[in-house]
Amino acid sequence: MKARRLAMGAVPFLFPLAALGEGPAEPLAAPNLTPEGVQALAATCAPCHGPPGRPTGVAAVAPLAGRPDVGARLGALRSAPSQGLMAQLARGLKDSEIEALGRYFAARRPRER
Amino acid sequence: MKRRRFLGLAAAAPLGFVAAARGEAKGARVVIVGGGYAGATAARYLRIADPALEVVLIEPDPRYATCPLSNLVLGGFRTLDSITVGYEGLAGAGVRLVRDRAVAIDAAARQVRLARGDPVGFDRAIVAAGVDFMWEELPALRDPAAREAVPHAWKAGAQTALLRRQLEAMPDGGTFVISIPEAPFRCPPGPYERACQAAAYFKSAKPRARVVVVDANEDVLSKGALFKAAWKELYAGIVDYRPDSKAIDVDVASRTVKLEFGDLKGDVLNVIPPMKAGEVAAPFVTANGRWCEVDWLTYESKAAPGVHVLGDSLQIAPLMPKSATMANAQAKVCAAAVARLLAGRAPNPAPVLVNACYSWLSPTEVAHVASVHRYDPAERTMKPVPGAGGLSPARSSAEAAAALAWERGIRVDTWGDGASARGPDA
Repeated sequence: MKARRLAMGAVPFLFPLAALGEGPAEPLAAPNLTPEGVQALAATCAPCHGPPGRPTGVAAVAPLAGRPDVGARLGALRSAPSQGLMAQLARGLKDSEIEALGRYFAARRPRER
Repeated sequence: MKRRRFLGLAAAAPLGFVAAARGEAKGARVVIVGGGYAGATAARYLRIADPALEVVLIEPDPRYATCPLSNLVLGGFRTLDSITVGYEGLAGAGVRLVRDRAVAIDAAARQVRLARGDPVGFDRAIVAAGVDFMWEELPALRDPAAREAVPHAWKAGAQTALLRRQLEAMPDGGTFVISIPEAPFRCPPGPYERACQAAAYFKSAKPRARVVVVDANEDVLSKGALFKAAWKELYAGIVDYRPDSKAIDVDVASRTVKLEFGDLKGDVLNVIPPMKAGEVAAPFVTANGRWCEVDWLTYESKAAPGVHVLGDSLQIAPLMPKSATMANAQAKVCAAAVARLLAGRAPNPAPVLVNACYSWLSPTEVAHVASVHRYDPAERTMKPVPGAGGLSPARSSAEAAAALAWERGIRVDTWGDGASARGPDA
């Protein structure tokens, strides 16, 4: 049960990305929305998910590159009543950062390094 | 393959090669001292940020045994080989490896002095020196021979193997004493995880043996409810936890830990000493005579321009643990900042650090603590994001799978490809 909660793939697709509100102004988030900034944010995922092109081989913690739904799932996790690690971390991200991460991972090729 | 081999040769070349290459190199040179989680990550990410940079990593040991998972080695549930990594992956990423010990970092002359080789000049230095032990707080352990009799096992490797042999040799019915220093120290939940792993070993192999944990702190420092639940539910009658019990010395001959109030005899003693920044980082210590303060946007030392400090040597920001994930996260922010500074650009003004830390409460069950930290420009420090992060509600085998993913993910993220080739389970 816990494994399912940890797995991003097991989280239902609750609402489309467009539904993620931008909320109030986020001056601090802006530097993290540049290509360099998003890459830095994405690098925070690597310790558990593996750096790009290097899957960990553990199904519950899937590689992210090439997945179209990372943003949507992060958004869903953030508002889910979950005490899973990923939900707890998603709550530390801003809407705009989650959207940018979603676009970033969707645009990567799975084997790209 | 050819490229690998060439770089491997370059990495093994004498220091003169590195020094001579400097004038020809287009990029600036960054010298990193220390090849643990912080230093290795910084090296790899500097090469990613700017392939023109010359990145030199100074590390005396040919391999690195990770502190994470080392408590499972103590319990007999993992091999030391399986948690040991090499530096081939960094060489493959174009990092020049210098197998030597840095004895001094001269910020004014911009060079690192080595135990054997010629000094290495730098445009910027990154010091990832880990921790050093404050033996003066445990006078009997100032003698290195005493540390063979009473291991700390708080740097993984030979000390881990030594303590494991002592536990194996301990008779059933014996007492294993773990002494925990006052916070802060490397890996706050580590000692409590160690108690769990030793207890798991005793439970099957020496059912009458006990683990007595004497803690200088007033309570379990991290994941307290989770550890206490494990001690009660899995190791009842085995783990005896005693808070407010500070070790002040050891009597090696009689295997006694001397506490502020009373003495405690054991069959195997594991006295974890108080810690401070690693020795070579000493000139950059600015807090309490123990830790290094930095600018959290760049990790540049408050004591020395051009010198950056990472990882367990740091004076921590609020609720920032001295963990492997945190060292890896800091190193990425630092590497990006150093690359930008060397290119004449300002660092990212809003860095984010993510921490994830798994503890093994049994050989098969794990719990986590996690946090997200953001820069507060008003206070110029990193602060945990309110409402984010937290603990596992309970230990689980599902989280053991996640912990193994972390082990593999962070290993490759830190030391690069080919770093995980040793163990059967690697």
